[in-house]
Amino acid sequence: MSNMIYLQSSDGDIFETDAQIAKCSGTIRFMLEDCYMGEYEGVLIPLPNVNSAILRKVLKWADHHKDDPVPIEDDGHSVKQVSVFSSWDAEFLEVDQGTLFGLVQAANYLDIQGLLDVTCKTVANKISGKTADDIRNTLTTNQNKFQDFI
Amino acid sequence: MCKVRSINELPPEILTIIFRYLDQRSLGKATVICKYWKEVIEEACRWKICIDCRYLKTYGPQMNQFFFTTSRKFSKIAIIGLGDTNVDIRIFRRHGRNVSKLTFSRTILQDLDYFIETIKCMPNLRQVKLFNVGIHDVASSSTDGQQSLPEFVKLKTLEANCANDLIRCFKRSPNLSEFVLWDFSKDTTVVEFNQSQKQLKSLVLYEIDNSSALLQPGVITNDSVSQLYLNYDRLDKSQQSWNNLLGFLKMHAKSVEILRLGFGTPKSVYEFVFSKFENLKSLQLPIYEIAREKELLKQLKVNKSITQLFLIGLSSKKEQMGSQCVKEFIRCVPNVTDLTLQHCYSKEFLEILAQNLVNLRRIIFYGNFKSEYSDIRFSNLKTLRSVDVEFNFDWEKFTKLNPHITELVVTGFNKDFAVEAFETLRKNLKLQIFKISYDKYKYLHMPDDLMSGVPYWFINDSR
Repeated sequence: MSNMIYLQSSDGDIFETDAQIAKCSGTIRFMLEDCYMGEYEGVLIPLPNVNSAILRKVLKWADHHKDDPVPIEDDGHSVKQVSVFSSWDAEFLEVDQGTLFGLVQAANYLDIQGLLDVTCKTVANKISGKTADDIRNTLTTNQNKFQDFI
Repeated sequence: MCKVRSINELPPEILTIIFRYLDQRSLGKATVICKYWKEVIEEACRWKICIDCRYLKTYGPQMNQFFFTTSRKFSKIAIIGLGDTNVDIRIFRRHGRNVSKLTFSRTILQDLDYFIETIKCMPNLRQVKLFNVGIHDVASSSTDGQQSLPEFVKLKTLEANCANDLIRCFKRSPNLSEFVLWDFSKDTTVVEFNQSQKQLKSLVLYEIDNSSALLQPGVITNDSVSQLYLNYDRLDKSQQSWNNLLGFLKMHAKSVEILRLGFGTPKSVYEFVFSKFENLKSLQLPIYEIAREKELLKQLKVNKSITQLFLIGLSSKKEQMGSQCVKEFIRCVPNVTDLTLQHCYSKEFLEILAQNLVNLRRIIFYGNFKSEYSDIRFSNLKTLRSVDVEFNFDWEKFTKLNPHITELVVTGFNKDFAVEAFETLRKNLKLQIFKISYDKYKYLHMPDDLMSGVPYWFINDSR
């Protein structure tokens, strides 16, 4: 049984997607199961915090990972130890800085643990093993913004 | 949501997640990027620090200044070389609550009270290590200090090679599960301590010698222990010592599930373990020693409860193990499903294991899995883990002979692991878990279409 639902991005575009795929997001899963009591065929969910470009990428990621086994939490340290990083993910995350940060934020807002892990790890990899100047240059496109904090 | 341009537009909770992926070195660098990062990191991340007291005279004031003003949270503190001058106790009062791991090493304490005062500041300790710590003046302080011993609810592991008075300071640790003792003395406080730990699961004893208090006849030990690791290099080979050791093992025969026997284990211990350890699941032993004992192997009882076996061979010499002896040994452990091998490189030996251990599912191989093993057939092997695999290993042959493998893990990846090897693996096996680790910061780029159909494959780049 395929249950199609619709997701509306912040700029108004509507994406049709399988509910099973969208459910990798904790936020959407909660809405579908608690707000719509499981009868959600064809519903439209507005996502005012995610724009079209990012939402498209998120859905692509979710589609590719739809068959992943649910990660097993062992004594709460799983975040650091499990380093799932397939070549698909690596390629998927070869994006510009803005998109990467957008994905981090979307993963956080939509509560997608797997995506949050890989994106945060990618950002962390950009920081590790670099000098302070390199980090400043790499991680901001808006130099003034950074100067404020120094 | 406007488009995020700078990393600092991300909310602090996300930055926290990112920073937690960094190692200490990178974390240190990240604190000097900007004030905002510094605040986030010091709020959310935990640091480890080593206080080397040999420089205390020179750097003492600066160090105190740093500790009194920093908002960093230290979860691991190591103290080295504490001698004439003590570290200002106010440092521990200020930071102690965050400390979960404490290490003292190469230290001579002035008195016990200072030590008790220090650990009182650290109620959240989970792990304590005491290496080469001595006390100058035991007599003056040991009695009055005891009444006010602190309680460590979270303490799980205590590792020590020194003064029993210090060990006793951790007596009130209701959840201690692992007790590691090196080179322990004849002082009976160790015995009392061991008995008082009701939750103890794992007891590790290194360098047992003749006068070791725990081994003396008549000593009652802890019956909650399910893991027992013994190393008795220093025990003299007299009948009396072995009887004491047997007596010690006797008390654990019902409860122990995991047992590690050291080098030089006498025949009587093997006989006892195989016939009386009814609940033993996992056994580690030096295989080359037992494989020489023809007479012993003939008498050895079959132990059906053992499912995991850890065999240690000889790294330097060629193993002089008669194939008949190895077969005899395998006869005694018919239900083994998991096998770990260290320094076992002889092909003949592996072949005997493969032919006789019919229930074998998993192999963990420490070392280089050689190309000459390509034609060994394990009848039901599902998992193979190896440190390395020789570059000209014949995967075609091996995977055809062992088609049930679903998990393949190579932890120290050889760069020559060729693309063709992946193709063979994919063609002949239904892999479910496939991990190879490579360089720390790099992951191997494999063409995705090549690996499609392997549902879960990892590049393990853990640090």
